[in-house]
Amino acid sequence: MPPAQDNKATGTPATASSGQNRLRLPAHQESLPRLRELALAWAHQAGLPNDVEPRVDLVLEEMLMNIFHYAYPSELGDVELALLSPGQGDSPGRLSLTLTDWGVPFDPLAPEDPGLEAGLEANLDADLDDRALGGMGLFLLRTLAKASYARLGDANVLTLAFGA
Amino acid sequence: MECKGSKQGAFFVLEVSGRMDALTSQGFETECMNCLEAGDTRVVADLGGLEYISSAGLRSILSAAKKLKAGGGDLAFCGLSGIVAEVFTVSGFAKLLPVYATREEALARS
Repeated sequence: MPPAQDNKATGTPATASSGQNRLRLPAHQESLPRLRELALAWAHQAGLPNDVEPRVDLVLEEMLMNIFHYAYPSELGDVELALLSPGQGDSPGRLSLTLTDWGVPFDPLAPEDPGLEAGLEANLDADLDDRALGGMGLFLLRTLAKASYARLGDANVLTLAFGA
Repeated sequence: MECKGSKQGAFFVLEVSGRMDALTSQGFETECMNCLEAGDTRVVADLGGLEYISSAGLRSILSAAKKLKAGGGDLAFCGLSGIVAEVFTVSGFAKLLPVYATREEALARS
């Protein structure tokens, strides 16, 4: 089977049983199930350990909800999920993917306000009455995935790695 | 996500199953508020059938726990496993809220 055209353009090798290695959809909640389904198919193919696969599910939801809510305050834009690895020849047991949006610049790994970071850590020890509700999604990102962020042109590109 | 409720002694047990995510988690808080309105302020959430929880689920739980506490009751948990147990641990919820290994232990507390 010949590779899809976008595979050629990006140089990303197609995986054996899933012809699709990227998916671009409108950045709203209705897109969540399809993006999730694809990411979990990749996770399954990559042979991630059983306890790691749900982390992919979780971190993807957290980051997508963040994009849905904050990336496009005025006009609706897109979000793209893309597979980085495993490609052909990669060792099994790990998965790398990217999430790209073309919205407001936002680095989920480096809050601009240092007080926010400190607040988040303190928040974990706060008791029930004091505990604020926000910030947990970003904390889960940092705890459960190896993540890196880049602003490339007008795009936010978040790379997420799971597994060994 | 599904919630099945039953009265067990002084407690109201909610058996939660499925996924507690951004699309479904509000239902948990609603169930707890129904308990509160019915006068069942001490709730035990048995998460044995819960496969998945995200921060949206944690928000729903925290909000429900605060409201039950304000109503003179509390919210305890049992049966956590897999990613649910992991998320409770890394988020600090396992220390913040009463968590028991089994439902029997959750029902045996005073």
